[in-house]
Amino acid sequence: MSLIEEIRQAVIVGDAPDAKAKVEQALNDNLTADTVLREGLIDAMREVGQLFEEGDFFVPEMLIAARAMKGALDLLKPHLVEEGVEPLGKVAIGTVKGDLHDIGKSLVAMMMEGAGFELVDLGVDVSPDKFISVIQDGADIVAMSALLTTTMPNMKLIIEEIEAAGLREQVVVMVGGAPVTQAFADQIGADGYAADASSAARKAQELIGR
Amino acid sequence: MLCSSSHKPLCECPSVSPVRQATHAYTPLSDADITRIHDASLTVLERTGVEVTSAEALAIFQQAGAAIDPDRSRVFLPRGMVEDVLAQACHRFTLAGRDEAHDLDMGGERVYMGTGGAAISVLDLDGTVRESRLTDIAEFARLVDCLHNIHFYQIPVVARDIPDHLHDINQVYAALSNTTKHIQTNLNSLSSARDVMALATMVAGSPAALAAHPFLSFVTCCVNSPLRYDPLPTALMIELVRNDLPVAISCAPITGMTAPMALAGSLVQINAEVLSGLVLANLVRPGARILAGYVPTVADHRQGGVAVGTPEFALMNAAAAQLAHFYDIPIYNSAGTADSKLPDVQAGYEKAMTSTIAALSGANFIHHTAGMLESLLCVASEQYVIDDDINGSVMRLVRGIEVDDQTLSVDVIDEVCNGGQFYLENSQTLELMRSECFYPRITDRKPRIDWEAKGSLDMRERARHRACTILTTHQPTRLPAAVDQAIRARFEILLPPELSGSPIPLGYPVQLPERIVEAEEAEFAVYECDRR
Repeated sequence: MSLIEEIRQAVIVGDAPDAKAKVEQALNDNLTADTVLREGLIDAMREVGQLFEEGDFFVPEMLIAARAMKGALDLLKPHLVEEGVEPLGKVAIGTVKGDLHDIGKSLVAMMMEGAGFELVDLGVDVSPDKFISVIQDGADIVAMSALLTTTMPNMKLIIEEIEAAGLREQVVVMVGGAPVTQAFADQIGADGYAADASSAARKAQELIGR
Repeated sequence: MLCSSSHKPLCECPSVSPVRQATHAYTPLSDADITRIHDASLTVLERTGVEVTSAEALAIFQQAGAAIDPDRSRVFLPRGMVEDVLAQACHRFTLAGRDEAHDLDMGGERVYMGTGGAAISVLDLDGTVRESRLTDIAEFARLVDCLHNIHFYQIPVVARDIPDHLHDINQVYAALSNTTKHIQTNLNSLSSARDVMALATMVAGSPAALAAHPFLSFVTCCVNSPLRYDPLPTALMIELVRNDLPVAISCAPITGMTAPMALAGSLVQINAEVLSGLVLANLVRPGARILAGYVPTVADHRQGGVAVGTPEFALMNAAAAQLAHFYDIPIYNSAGTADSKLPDVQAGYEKAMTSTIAALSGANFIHHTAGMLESLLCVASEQYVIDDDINGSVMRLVRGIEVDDQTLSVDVIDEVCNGGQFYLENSQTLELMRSECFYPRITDRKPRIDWEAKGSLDMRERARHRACTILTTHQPTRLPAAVDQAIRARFEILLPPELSGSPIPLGYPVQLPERIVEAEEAEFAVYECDRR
């Protein structure tokens, strides 16, 4: 088995220490960070997503694979910068004001990191101001989560505030959470909606065109 | 029709063991009730007796000390005699599969759920109802071979397209050549019984091998309620027991018609009928491998028809399991039954209710739990697929909740809550997530957006697709070629050779509704579609 294949397998089975060790070895062997990223890590996560969609992988398995991917990616980052490889994009994610439910949001964050995005996790009960300032700091995507029907309207308010701040054109807005639907997303003027973490990561890639 | 190949194996073994011991989870009778029913049954056998017209059976009862009224062909069984003979009964035995992975351990409160017979019509995948035929027995066997939560195959339909004298041998061959699960059949004559035993012996290798590993058992309805022995099934039962083969002695009285209207009285009568059968079998062969066959049935007196998807049916089948446990004899009973004519909401609730109740009562050989509709008159391919999901859920109920130091999870709770993570990534979750929960195959739990993307199909439509996929792709383990050839040379086998375990039934006349075809084409676009 080639080293790249070993990296892929370590990520797929969610073995974070092994994935890191193999990535270090690959760098020592003078493989480019770009090759390790594309053929090892990203390809592994593509397969994990496929296994999940076919029902072979369960959510926790997808999650530990994403963690392994992230650990390996952190090692690669300085080398990627040296090689001039750009990250996929920067995502700011949070549960909207009034809502403390964070398991779904955290899952999405993990999967997006696994897909190669840089993540800023704003946590729970996030005020519109925080979303605004993170866009000003260069976030490409703002992802908002709500579990309660009573906090869903805050998503609309945040989009309105982003518009009022003149930032709407420079950011992609994604929404999700159990009560959220595509229809609601369209109604409040969001750019994207996904029903689960795996498709959220894929949707994010589509939306920023990579 | 659509014959899309699935890219995934159809017969994955889930890690949840399908067979578990029930723990008296549902017991409609108190201990005192059981004793009273037992006592009343013995009184009935002693005072009212049973009618026996078969000279052979009459002689066996008489020789053992029963009182006989020859003018009325009535046999009165003394209490002590019944108790003495029952003391010799077999408490536990194996009903084998042709593949030993499918062996059934009969006894105690180990629960198995399988098909039952014998319907006379089939609701086809295209929605039409027609008479059942020989090829149905082969095709349903192939379906059941693939469906993990259907544990045995009692031949579910009558082959109405072949001559009567060829029924038994052909039905058994069609079943045996298409599944390695345990097969149970009824028989129509002594001569065909001998043929069937000869066929089974050819597959087993020798009579001793067949007796040691009986992949075929029999059901004989010896008693016509109320309390009258039917000569032919009785003769068949005696012949099979003499040959040391396992037999279910099945009694099926109907409340208010062939048994008292009072449910307790119905139980007294069926118990007396079953006990008399156990006595006869154990007189023929002490320790014979007998399933005590209780199928206590009710009628809907508004129309007069048998009604099997009912709460009373469920209650009495659970009570029957309690009676069999009282005698410590493996029980054959019934659940998963429906009076609905099609796989609709009514069928769903009737099946889930009767199967849950019977399984939680710890019954051993629960038949009729797959495929059945229309008060046992009709079966449907898609219903087998639906019932596979229902049975899996029911078996998970039977398994219950395991409580021990590990599962109480005190350390895990501490680790997660002080570690700032969720249980999703905890090693316990990864270790137990597949075995702690049952994951049904076609039951929908997806987000609406995903469900809509796959055509917004309801349960019946999804089941039709899976049934079609299994029928056209699943390859059961065939009979060894030499054995198959020898069987076809010796007996008049009418099943086309290509249906002896073939995954591609030629000319299989299925037309699926367009909506299903369109939706699934989208999903399986890369696979070939055969629109024959």
